Amino acid sequence: MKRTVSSIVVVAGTLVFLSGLFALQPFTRLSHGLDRAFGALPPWTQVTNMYRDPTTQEVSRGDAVVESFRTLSASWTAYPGAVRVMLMGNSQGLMTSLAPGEAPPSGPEKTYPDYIADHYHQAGSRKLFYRMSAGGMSYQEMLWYALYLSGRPDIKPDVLLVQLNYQNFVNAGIRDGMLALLSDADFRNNVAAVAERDGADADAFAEALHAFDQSQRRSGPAAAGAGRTPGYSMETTFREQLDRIPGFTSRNAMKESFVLLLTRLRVYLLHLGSARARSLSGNRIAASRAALEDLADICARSGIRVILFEAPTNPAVPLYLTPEDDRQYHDFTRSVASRFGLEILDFEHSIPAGEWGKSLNVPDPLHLGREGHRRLADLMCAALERSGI
Amino acid sequence: MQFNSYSYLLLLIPVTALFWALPVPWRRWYVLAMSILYYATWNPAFVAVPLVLALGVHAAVRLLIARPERGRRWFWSGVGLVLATFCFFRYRQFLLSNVNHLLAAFGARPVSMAWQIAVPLGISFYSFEAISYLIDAKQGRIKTSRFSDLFLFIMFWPHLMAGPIVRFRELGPQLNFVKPFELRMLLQALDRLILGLVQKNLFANPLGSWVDQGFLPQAIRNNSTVDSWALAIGFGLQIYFDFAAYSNMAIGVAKLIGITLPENFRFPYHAHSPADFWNRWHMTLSRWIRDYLFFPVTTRFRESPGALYASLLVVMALVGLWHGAGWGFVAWGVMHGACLVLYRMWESLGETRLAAVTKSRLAAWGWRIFTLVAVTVAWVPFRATTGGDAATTLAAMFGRLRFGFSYPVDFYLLVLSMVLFCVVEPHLAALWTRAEEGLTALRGGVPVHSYLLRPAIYACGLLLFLIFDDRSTQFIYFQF
Repeated sequence: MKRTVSSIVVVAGTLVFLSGLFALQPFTRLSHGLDRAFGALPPWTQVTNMYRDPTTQEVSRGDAVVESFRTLSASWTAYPGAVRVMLMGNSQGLMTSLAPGEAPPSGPEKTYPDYIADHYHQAGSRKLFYRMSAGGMSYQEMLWYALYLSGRPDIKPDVLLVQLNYQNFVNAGIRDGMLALLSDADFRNNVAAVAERDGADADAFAEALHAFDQSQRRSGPAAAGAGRTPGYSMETTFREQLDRIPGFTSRNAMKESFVLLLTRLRVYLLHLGSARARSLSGNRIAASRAALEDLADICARSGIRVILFEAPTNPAVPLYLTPEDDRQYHDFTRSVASRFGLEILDFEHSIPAGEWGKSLNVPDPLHLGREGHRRLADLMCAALERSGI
Repeated sequence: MQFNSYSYLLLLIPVTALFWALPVPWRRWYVLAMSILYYATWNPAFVAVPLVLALGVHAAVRLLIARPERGRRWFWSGVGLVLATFCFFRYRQFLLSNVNHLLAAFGARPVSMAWQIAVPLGISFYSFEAISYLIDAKQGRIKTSRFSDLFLFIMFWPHLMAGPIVRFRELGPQLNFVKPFELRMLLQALDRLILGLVQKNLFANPLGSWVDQGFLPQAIRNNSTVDSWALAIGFGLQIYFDFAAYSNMAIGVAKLIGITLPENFRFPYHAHSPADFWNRWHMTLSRWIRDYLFFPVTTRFRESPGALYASLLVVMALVGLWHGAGWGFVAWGVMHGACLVLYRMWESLGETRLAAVTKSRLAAWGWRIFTLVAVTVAWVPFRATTGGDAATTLAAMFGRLRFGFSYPVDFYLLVLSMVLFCVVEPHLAALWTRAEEGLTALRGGVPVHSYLLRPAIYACGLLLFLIFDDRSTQFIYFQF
């Protein structure tokens, strides 16, 4: 009897402690403590309430593009004859990291593409603007989009603004949310054609085709039967029941707070931020270069005018490890532009250090503050006007 | 049903409670029923495979015991049945694809196989156990064979899917379940179970998600020397934590019902030679290979080093093939075999005038480093999808030197922190044991560590397990 009671005490004690941990949220508390100790900006500087408009933005950030394109098609076909301008880039176009001294948000915050869209809208011009941004968008993904858009007259842009960013050259591959576009047979054939070529970017497309086919097999009728083993069904039932327990679903948020705690430890103790000065290895450059060149080529053949723009970089965060990296990168962007006769708008040094946000207690390498977005929008509107757009 | 699934863990509580509430004679039948049910949660039809295997082995052993003059024939019939079943499920597709490659080389039409049959989970493990039962019977260690004993030995759910690979003589006597319940047993069980859950969800899975990315064909071509080494080390750590997690959970769950299973890992990356690595890595498989393959081979070729070394290579190639039907696994086995041969050759120098050199501290450190590097390098063909991918990665590691970082800093930090954890792991274990002994000595007062400290540590472990829960990941060794 005593042994049974002892066992129950151990198991019950464990559950009590576990409930206590869920209630206490220790990772969040520790993170707040670290933020205070290391002088980080308040959490509200990382704006979460961003302006959202599915007619001018790809709001899924690359995770559900089929739905986004459906909305875009309805929006653009309602304005026949209008000039369609589309901007492609990374999270710089969809996030705001408020700079020191900027007031807390009082409503949804806009980014520079939103201000450009407003500018066209307010001017009453027959121009439609759309932002195709996603965190860490690779040049292969931009090519993916360009290939798809060029075959869809209803959503094909007249002008494509392509963001050039040194950090983007490290990204590769096509994210899962974009694979659904392969359901379109014509697009699939075009992708297969790129994959079969001997180009540096062919691997990414071949991998994407493989991943899509695999996911189709997994979700197909045969796979559905195979996946539903008795154990699988039982686990699904258990999970559904557990998710009804108050607080149990907060484990996902707790994981996020744990990961953020580790990030803080990395930044505060090891002084390793999310972006550091780096040299890009040859193969990555080659794959991104091939994708960018293919994009320019496809757009030229489809009658889409491409304008490249050098994204602003934070003067407080060096991105190039050596002057040679800087030179190599700019030589490349200029060579693409000259080869395809493209215009480059240079905003690399356009935003002063004070208008950039901070990530924890270190300068953010990518995300602008409120004023930074406004300044960049003004500069871009003026430059686009000079280019006749 | 995965060991780290919610349904398994929650059902474990009533299943264990009912086990201890049952009268002793009923317990073996109850455990057998639970084991069959557990296996059926994967695919009810596959219960027939271990059942048929057990029936065949039981018949062979009965005949072997009853008619010892024909023992050899019955022994080989039993082994043949097990191997035929194992190879049919495991290597059918592999053999066919190789035959088709050969046929294609000669311009012949490929052979197609219309029917697809999945590999029954755990077949590699219970096949080896069935063979060990036959060998023990042949060597006279099993005097009588009861079908229920054999079937329970094979089906015993904690070790059914991925070991530890046990012998009948160490598990069979325990399957009477006469041991009385003790709190110590529960604590030991929870220690191992929760450690396994943390190893799987916190260590192995995050490493796995990076390694999966890094071993994609497209990524492999872009990986620098640093990336390739980090990925090889990362996979070595992932597979260690993954399999150690499974083994810890198996040992813990068996302990919940009073059964002691053998250990499977003993800080393998602290090995001081290739031979020592196999004394620390997947120890129950190493033991099986040593007793049933190495020893007979060594005895046979004692006077002929060349034949002995060749046999070692073949045995290790077979060990590789046991892990999976692919040439990458064979290459992994051969690489380990080559290291073992090299070490044996070095050891044989110890019997000559070079004894002082072979026993020097420098040589000891040299072998320690060589073992770590060789084990890491051997993981590359084991993990890579194709031979070409493995060759590209090895070329990046040794030949085509480039020193860029292609992945976010978190990946390299994760690998580094896991390496550091492996370095201090034996010391942490020793510290835990010492603390445990110290607290137990204080037990004249309040048993604080059983009722307060341990539940607090368990809760922290469970919290980490819960927040890193990922339903989509399997245990690596389940595929073997």
